[in-house]
Amino acid sequence: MVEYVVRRGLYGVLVVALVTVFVFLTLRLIPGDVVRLQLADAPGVSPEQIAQRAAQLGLDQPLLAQLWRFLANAATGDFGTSFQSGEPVTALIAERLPTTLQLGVMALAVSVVLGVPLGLLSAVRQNSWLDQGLRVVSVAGLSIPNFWLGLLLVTYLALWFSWSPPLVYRTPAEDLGSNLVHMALPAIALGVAGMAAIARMLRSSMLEVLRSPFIRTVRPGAPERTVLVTHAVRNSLVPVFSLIGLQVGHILGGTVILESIFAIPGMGMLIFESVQLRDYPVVLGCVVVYGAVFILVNLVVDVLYGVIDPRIRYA
Amino acid sequence: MPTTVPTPQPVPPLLQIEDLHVEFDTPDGTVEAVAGVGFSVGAQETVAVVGESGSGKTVTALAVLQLLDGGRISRGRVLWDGTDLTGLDRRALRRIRGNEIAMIFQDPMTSLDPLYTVGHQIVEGLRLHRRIDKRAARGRASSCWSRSHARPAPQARRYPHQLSGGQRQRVMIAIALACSPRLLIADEPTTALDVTIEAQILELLRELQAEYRSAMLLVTHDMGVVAETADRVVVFYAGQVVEQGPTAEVLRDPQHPYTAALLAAVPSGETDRAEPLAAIPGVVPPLRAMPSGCRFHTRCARAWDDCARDEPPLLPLPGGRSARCLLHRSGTALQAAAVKGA
Repeated sequence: MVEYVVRRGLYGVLVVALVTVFVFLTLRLIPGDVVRLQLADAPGVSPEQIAQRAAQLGLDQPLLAQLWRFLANAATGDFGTSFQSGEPVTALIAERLPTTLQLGVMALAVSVVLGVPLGLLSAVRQNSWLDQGLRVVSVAGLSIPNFWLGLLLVTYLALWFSWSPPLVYRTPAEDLGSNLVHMALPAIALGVAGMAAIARMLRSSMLEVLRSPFIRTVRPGAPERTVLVTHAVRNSLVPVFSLIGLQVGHILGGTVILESIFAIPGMGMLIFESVQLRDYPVVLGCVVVYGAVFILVNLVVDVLYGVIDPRIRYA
Repeated sequence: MPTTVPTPQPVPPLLQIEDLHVEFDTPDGTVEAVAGVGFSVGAQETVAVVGESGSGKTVTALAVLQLLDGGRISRGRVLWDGTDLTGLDRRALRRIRGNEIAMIFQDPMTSLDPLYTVGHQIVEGLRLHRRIDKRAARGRASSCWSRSHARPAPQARRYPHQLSGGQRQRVMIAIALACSPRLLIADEPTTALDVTIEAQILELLRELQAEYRSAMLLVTHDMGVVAETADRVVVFYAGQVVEQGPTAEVLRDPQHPYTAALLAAVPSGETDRAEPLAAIPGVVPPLRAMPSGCRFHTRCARAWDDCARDEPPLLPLPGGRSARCLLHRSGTALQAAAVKGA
């Protein structure tokens, strides 16, 4: 078990390193040059000044040397400083990570808290109008891009109820109410796809479990509630569990656009801005953190898997 | 003062199935999987239901417990101790199912919940029906367990996937017998097991049945199992009972050509290995295309013109037997004894 976690952890580090290399190289393929972006507005910039700035940022080195230096520093926890503000990347991330984690947890809560009951209801009332309706909602939820849903929510709430989220973001410490109201819409927009995926998967896995022979073993003598809760639900949650881990990936990806739409100063917005400004160290630092969070969550899911299902062995 | 001596009432059978019809709705219309089945099981009696796949034996067993998935009883009664189970609500059914009537299913590999220990599953069944605390339930479960298993209890903490098929079937038997049911319905309990385990499980069922004084309704397609275990045998064909009677007599002197053909298909020690195995020609007719008259006449070696026209009733025969064959119709020139030559 410990050995399993350690090994998975090491794999995780390797994956994050590979992702970092990939993103590092891809960033350089994006047209546009950070030095020109920074100095473009200044009239009469001489080539010397440009070269000097590039040297300051370490961009005069060969690409592989830059990559190596970044990886070597990152291994010690140093992601460099922002090209833009000069602040350490770790400080920028530390400031913004809690906001994004809050949004992610809220979105995941939307997925699970709505998705699980909807999936179970759908299965227990198979082919009822409720089931049919939920199926339509699920397909819609899976098909609608989260940023578009976010925009729709804002637009129609404003149009129909003359309501719009607060314009200025407040941290939970400053004003919890305002913060939650602000976060609600992006959390819903981010969580709906997960809700739909979980509901669909749980529905089919529940239907399969309900038809399985072991349910027939307990059903004759047991009240329907016991059959459903202790046997059917627990068994059908097993496959859904790993889906929840995967949803974290979608949610993290979605924060980039939704935080920007809703003006939430989290890591998603930081990534968005940094990509626009070609602030390579900040983008890379954020990518490492996102990757690590995703891998960590899925490791926890896999470990908990074994707690739910005794058939799972860690080998 | 004259005393009225009560006239001895005939003891009603424990389970009596009367004219049972079961229908299933399919996309192509309604089909009748069981068409007018009737037989009974007495207290502590073992009755075997035999027939080919699709003859309605399992559906009948499930219908007794009102466990039909997707099907419905369209006609007939299932009398348990004089009460018609078909009219009972869920609550009343729960008090009977798993408690007075227990069931063992065909596939022990999937009949246990994979997420709970087998000990837990035995205790669970007990606690649903007996108002006893966890400890008492555990004690009782472990005694059931040790009786259903050669070795005592450390296995109870195991999960189903850690046990072999035979061991799992023992667990199923322990669950079924935990509440000392008066009737045990075993639906092909040994089909999924290999032959040596099969013998052990059958032996175990016999022993425990005697110990708990339960009756048993054994669904099987194996004539060998029938011969070893059953007091009486009920032969199913295409959703009907075609013959029934005491096992020894039915096996020795079948009164229906189908039973005779089934018995002829069982290879014995004397079967010539060079010869192909005896088989009944043709297949069981599909439910939606039942032949007119006798349902077996298309495959019957002894069929004549009447068989395609007249549907034979289940005709009572001497010795508590009956057979659904026109050969036994009074006035038929052919003698019952001739059936065996089929």
